[in-house]
Amino acid sequence: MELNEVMPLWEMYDKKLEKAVKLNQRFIHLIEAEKVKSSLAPLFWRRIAEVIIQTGWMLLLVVFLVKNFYQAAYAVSALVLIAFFIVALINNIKQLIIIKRMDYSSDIVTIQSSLAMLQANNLNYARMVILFIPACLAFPVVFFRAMRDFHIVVFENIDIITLTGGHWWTAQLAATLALIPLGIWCYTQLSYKNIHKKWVRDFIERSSGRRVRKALEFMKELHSLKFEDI
Amino acid sequence: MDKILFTELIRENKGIIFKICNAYCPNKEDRDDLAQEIIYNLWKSFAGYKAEFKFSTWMYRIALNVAISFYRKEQKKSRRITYPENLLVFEDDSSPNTEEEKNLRLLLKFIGELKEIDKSVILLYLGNKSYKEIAEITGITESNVATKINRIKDKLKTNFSTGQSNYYGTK
Repeated sequence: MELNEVMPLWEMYDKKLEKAVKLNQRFIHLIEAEKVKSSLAPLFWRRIAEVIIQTGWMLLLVVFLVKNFYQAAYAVSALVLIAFFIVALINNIKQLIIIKRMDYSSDIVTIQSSLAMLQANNLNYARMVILFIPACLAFPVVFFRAMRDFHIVVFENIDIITLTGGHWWTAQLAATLALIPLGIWCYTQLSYKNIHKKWVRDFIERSSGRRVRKALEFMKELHSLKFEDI
Repeated sequence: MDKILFTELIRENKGIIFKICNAYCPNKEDRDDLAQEIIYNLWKSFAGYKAEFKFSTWMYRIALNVAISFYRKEQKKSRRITYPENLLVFEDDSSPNTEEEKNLRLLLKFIGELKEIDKSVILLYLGNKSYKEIAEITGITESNVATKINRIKDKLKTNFSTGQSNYYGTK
């Protein structure tokens, strides 16, 4: 059967529905009376909570930075961590903007791409961690120093800089130089544009879950429908 | 006034909602949840509806967007209002007797098996929307709409020939 031959079938279906489908009017009035609340509201508030927590960590790091401003190793490490939280904060603010601008009367590709992007947020965190791998030594440096500043007895005698006997800079420099290209390469590879690659699919599924992998596959399909000839 | 107009427009276009729910919900129990979700979102966006656009075009955009999101959700339950009755009631329990009715069943089964965007394209095409309108509603380029429809046509042809022989038994 050809598609034009099914048109009369569809018209018949329309007529049948006209008679057979009954709409429960009382139900519509109940929906109209219901307090209007977006189904994305829980996600919005989760992102707000994340923004508050990330801002809190950033403020603590700024305090740490001010306190250790003239000790280069600590100051640089704190700056690296502040940069990490700034990137995370920007990501969350972008998500909040997407949620606020969500309008279901926009075209299907636009809305579904935005929803898939919200769904794939876990991957953004995985990508950020990878991007900051070259600066991974900054985390223990700041952590142990902060513990000392707070006079937590267990950590009183642990100071990564002193313990490494001045080799910390060398180790940090070597790690950064060796891992920067890898970090950037992984960061750019882990996107929906490369979801056809097996290792990308596997990594995404293991790091962020099946739901995220499916969201990225859908994003790729939507992107090709809008911007490429299929 | 808005409420009366909205209810009237929904009543006039209830068939569209039913067809979308039918295409995107393989599970009968979920269909009423989806219908609620669609009507809820239509009502929520109704203040922003501009009369210069066709109501059905605006409605298709929202209803299809909600249906695709619902279809992709792993946890389907989203019932906003628990009510002993259903929102949409299909009062037809006759079994397909004529060849036309049997073909219609095959067609609905075929649509139900398509991918989410393909379902939208075919529902719009069968709803007498032009390629340009389909492109506007879906956000797909017009040439891709044409390609998709051609592919669906081919698939439909194959499905109908195999489906019909399964339905009636090979002679």
